[in-house]
Amino acid sequence: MTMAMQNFTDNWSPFGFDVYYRKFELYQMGWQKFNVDISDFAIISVAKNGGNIVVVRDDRKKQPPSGPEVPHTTALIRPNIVVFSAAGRLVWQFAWNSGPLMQIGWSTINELVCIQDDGRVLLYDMFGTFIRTFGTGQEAADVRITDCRIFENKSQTGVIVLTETRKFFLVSNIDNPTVRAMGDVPGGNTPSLFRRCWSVVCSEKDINVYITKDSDLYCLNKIGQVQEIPSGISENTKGFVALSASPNQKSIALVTAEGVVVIKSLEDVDSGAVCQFDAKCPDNQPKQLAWCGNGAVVGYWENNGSHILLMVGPKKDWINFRFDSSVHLVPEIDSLRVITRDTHDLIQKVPAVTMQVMKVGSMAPGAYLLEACREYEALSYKADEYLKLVKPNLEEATMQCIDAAVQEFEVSMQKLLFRAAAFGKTFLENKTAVTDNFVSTCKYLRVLNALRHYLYGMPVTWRQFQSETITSLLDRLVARRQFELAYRVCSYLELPASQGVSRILLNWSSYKMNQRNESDEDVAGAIIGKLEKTPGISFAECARNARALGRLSLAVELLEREPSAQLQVPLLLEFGKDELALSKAIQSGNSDLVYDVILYLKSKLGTAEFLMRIRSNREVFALFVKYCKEFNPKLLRDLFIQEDWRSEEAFTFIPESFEALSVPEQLSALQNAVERFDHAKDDFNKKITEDQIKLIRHQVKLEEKFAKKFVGLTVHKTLEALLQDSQWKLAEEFKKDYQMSDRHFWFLKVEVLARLKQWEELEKFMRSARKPVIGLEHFALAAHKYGNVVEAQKYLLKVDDEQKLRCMLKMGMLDEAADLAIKQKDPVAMGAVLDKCRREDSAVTAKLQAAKTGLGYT
Amino acid sequence: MVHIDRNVINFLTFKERARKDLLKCIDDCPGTKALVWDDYLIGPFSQLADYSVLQDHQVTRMFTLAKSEFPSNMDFTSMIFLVRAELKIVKRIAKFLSKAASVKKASLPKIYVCFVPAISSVCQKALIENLPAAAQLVHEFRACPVGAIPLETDVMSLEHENSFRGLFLEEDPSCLHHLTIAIKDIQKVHGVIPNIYGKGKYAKQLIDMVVKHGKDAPNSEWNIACRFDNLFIIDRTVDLITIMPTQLTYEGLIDECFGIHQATVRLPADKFPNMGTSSKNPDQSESGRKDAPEKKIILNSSDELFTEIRDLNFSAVGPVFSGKAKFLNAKLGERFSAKEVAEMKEFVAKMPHLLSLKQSLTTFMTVAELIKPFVNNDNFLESLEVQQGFLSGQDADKVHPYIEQLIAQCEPFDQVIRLIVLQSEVNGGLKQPVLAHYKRDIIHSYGFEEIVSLNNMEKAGLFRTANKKWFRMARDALKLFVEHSDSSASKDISYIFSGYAPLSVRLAKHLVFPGWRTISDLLEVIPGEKIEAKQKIPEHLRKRRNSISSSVSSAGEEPAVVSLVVYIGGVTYAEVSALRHLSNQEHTSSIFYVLTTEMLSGTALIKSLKETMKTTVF
Repeated sequence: MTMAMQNFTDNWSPFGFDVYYRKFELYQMGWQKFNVDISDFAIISVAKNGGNIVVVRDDRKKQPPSGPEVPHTTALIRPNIVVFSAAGRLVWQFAWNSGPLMQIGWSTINELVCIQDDGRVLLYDMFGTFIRTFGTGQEAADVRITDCRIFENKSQTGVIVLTETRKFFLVSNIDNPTVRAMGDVPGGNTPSLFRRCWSVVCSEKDINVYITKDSDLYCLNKIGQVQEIPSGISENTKGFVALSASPNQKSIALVTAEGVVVIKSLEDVDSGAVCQFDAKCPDNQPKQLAWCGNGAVVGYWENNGSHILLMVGPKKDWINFRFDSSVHLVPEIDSLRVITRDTHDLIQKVPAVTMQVMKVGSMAPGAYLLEACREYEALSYKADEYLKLVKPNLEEATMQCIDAAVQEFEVSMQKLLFRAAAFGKTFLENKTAVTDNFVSTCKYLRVLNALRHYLYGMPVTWRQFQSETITSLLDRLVARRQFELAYRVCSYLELPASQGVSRILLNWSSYKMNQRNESDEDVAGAIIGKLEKTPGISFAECARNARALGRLSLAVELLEREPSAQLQVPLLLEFGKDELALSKAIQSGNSDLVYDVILYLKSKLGTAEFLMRIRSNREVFALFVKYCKEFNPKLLRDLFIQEDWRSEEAFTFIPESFEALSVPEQLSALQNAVERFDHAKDDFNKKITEDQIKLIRHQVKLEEKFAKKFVGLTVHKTLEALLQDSQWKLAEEFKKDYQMSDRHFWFLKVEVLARLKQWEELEKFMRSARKPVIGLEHFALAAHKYGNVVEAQKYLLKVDDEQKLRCMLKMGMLDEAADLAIKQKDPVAMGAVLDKCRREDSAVTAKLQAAKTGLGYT
Repeated sequence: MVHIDRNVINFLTFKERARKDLLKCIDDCPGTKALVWDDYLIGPFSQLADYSVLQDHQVTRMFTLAKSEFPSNMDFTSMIFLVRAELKIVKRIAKFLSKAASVKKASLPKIYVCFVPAISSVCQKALIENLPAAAQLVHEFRACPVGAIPLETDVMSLEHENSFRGLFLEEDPSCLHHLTIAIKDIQKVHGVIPNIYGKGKYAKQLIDMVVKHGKDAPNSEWNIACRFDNLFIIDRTVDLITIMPTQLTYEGLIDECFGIHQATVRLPADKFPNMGTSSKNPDQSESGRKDAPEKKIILNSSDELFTEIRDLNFSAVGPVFSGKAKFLNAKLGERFSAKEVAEMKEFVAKMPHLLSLKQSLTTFMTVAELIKPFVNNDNFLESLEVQQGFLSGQDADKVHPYIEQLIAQCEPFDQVIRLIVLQSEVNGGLKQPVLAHYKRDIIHSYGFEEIVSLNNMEKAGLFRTANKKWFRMARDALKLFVEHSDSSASKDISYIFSGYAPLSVRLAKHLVFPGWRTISDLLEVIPGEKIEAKQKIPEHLRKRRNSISSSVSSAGEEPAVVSLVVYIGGVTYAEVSALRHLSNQEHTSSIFYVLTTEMLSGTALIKSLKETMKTTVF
């Protein structure tokens, strides 16, 4: 390999066989200008996956240097809490104004978890906005706590506190804080419990505390049990001085008072220690013990002003790193961050793919491809030779270069490796899979580069990036109020609006609403201006947020923009804006929504008030009437009474009259209707209803007289029955009583007389008026209908010509009709007759055809 | 339809979506299923999925709310109620479910109540109020989002029962809401419709809603080139006239005589010997009721012959039949003349087509025979004459003797009312004494209970007493009545009613050409607000039109003007036919599509407003 290759591996340190670790600088710390030093901090906590740093300066004198580590029992009274980005840029600071502060840590969603010395936990966002609080039990509050830990368990945040009485109390999820007591350490009340000598280990099933007491190791579980674990070390020790669990929770590392680093697997606790390594620092206890991924543990010793990190692996491999000021170690799932006053470094195991591509002398396809590309760029013929070597595994080589690229923080390195991948890709025959990978990886890496930028200071490794979802990453940006970046990431990655831009904007709007000093109008204006341009944004949700923040008028204003009435109306009701809810519901045209409001008002208001409210709008009123008709006829009548709608009220009695169980009941219902019609000055309906009452009474009498069913018949049917009984006189009176029209009466009587075959009576009836009220054709037709041709003919003679033809046709007298039409020389009439002719009427047809032809029609 | 190849819009494509929505609703409930149908939905939904399809989706049993009892044998996992989201359905569900309340909970299936087309909280609440046990019995209330159903390539309908009554009598605007959604759905597929016109009170309200919806949906989401030019929304009360006379098209007459429901007519099966009996359908299953055997005939464009005759005046159908019969005879005769193998082969290839033509010819000729007695009836002819009289401008001021005669002879109520409404409409309302005379007469003949029906009709605007004589002016300006010597020859739409051209259709036609500006005076006189609105459309999505100058030179190239006509309150088959005639006329290039709340006939309208009393016999 060429010399040039070497510089890739400059920062690599060998760590046993074919394992390398590398350390590189992430940032020059921006906080240098604040003149800080790690040793000044009473508290320093760093959020995982490249998260922010929160520090609390120790405003008291430093701990006395002499003596062993003193349990930190004195809490900080009024400290300043300062949040920095990983690049040391000041994010926010705020004064602590609650009780004495013990510890601050980060929750999984980047809230600040602050623990007071009374065990009370307070959650703040990183901008000092209080979120909520909970306690860790009475005992902690009574006796104070001496130590605590904030840990992650199944993507949730847990808290555990250690009281002065040496008891552990656990809250396994701060979102649902229930307190449990852990088991007690045997012989509990000894002062040798050191702050560094315990750790929380979360397994699939359980949450345990591993703790050392002198030279013993115990495991406490959350149902109060205690188990002694053999520490597995081969030599006697005075005791342990530090304990730390690996990121995967499968191993712990311990340091003895004699300076021996011990690594022990938790998967098989009865076996001995995996490794014991004498750090040769017997006088000094480590200041911090932290894992670097799962493959090595790092102890930090300070010795005569020099700061040494000793990294030890399970196979007793080791590396030293020296720093010239105090450091703080931040274990990550795949690496270790080292923060000092000047720099922020990352130590990680060199990823396998990086080894393949960049290790000196590597024969992996990716390594050849990288070399080929470099030669090609140097315009060297050797490019071709390397390419030939890699040709059989070109796809693998390309993938390796892509995979190696994402492991780099240095953009020039990323570019180099991507160029190699692109170079390899051009020679691939089937490149779609590779291309897709190339493009999407490139996109994500760009996002990572943006996050890692000094301005944002999120040094997320590829592994970390893959370990969390894009949504949670965006949530972290939102928690940092980096809305614009989050927005751009969403649109760059073309995420669906609901997961992406809409969500970000919604969060942004909540932030905006929290600006209490800005007026509702300004906030609404700003929010609407931004949100309106984005499709699929939910103003309803936005309004709900505003309401939750107590900004009602802002909420209403935002809700005004919600296009879906379905979302809008229920919220307006929730906000107590009934009036507006009602008008929005009406505007939507969705009656179901209107009913929602109506029923809500009905349940909320007294009946009287409710009815008053309902009347204000015609459409609402109509819908409520419809509802009442179906379910509450009684209320309906009240409604009409209130409105003084007498006519409507009257009509409610009519179905009642039909459902009545007796004649008096029926009459009384009708009488009620009459009164209402009278009130309403509805003379016509009043008269009709009065007539009906009269009719029923009349019919009752008739029933007595004729011992026949009359009640329930119509005027027409009653009359028909009377005529059928030849009660001419009664019928005549009856007709007058009910103002039946003459024509109606005549039609009826003619029909009945013909039916009764009372031909004389029929003729008498015809003559009863000077001019018959209905045409004589109806007499003829009636006679014909009941089979008396002679009578029919008799009337037919007196019918005028136009009607006569019609009449003849109806009576099927085609021949006569034809003659008449021919006589009248009327082609239309002839046509009418022809239309009626069937095949068997050929004689008539012929006659008509001839006549038509004669008249010049064909 | 004939014009389908001239245009890419085919409403039947919406069917697939509706089908998916329905089946998803069913699939979302676990295990084997029993369906409990709202009886009214059986028709529309059988258009989407027949019983065999439902069986494929694990439907094992079917019940109907009206005719079935709660089953005692519950060998299914889920019970799904498919019901309209309407108040009147609530008591029926409660009644059906009340039996379940006494059954042990463990042996009950999971009960789902699926509201069509959207979940209704008022129905939900009312159900629980009526049957408190329902709160526990019903596992979940859901929506079955099947809205408008395409009945034809050019017709979509909400199939909303009694939509006219709902809107104009009960003043419940739910239909408008569902129309808005249907219009939105159409716009999502065929682009935003730029020009909106409307006539009538509810048209205004609907347009407001459509425009608001349009504004709320950013253009990026509806990124589809416009296919429609005009949206014309008409409130049914603007044109009540057209519903009243008897429809005289083939399809219209089938509706008048037998009633068409969801493009299906049921006729006595014994008239159709040697034809397949109808398949199993929900109202026959488990209802325990045996109806007289019925033949279901599907009336849609899948049948070539029906497509040809449906829009013709009934008098013109006969010649088509005889033409087809001759054609068939000739073609079928070829089998004897065919000598060569190749000829035989050709003949055999044509066989299926010929046989299906023969089959449908037999069917539709039989249907025509069944209609004949109605049409040849003296009453029918006389009634027709009176209708024509009113429409052609005869005096309609006084009590009409023929109407009086019909009442005195107790002829069907709807027939009487249709004539009275027609008289009232052409006369611009009736004089108070005339109306009172009719009303009294009606009560004498049909009984006191009709006082409520008459009141309903008056409230819904069927009888007007205001005296505004606009019809004469409209008739002259829009040529609403044209005398024909021969009804089959004319190309004008007036031929649909043997002389009368439907007002709504003339208005739609004038919209496209020459434009409403030319009749603005008339539009002021015709009752109901006139509305015009525009929807903004990004330049690149607009329909390309040639400039005016070039259109003169190449008129044939000009894309057709496509309009969607929305009827609020229902449309008749005759009107649809008339619009199709316009679409199919070769010299104009305008195409019409129809969206309606339901298919309507005068009789159906009157029946919907009639009130039936629950009479107790004491």
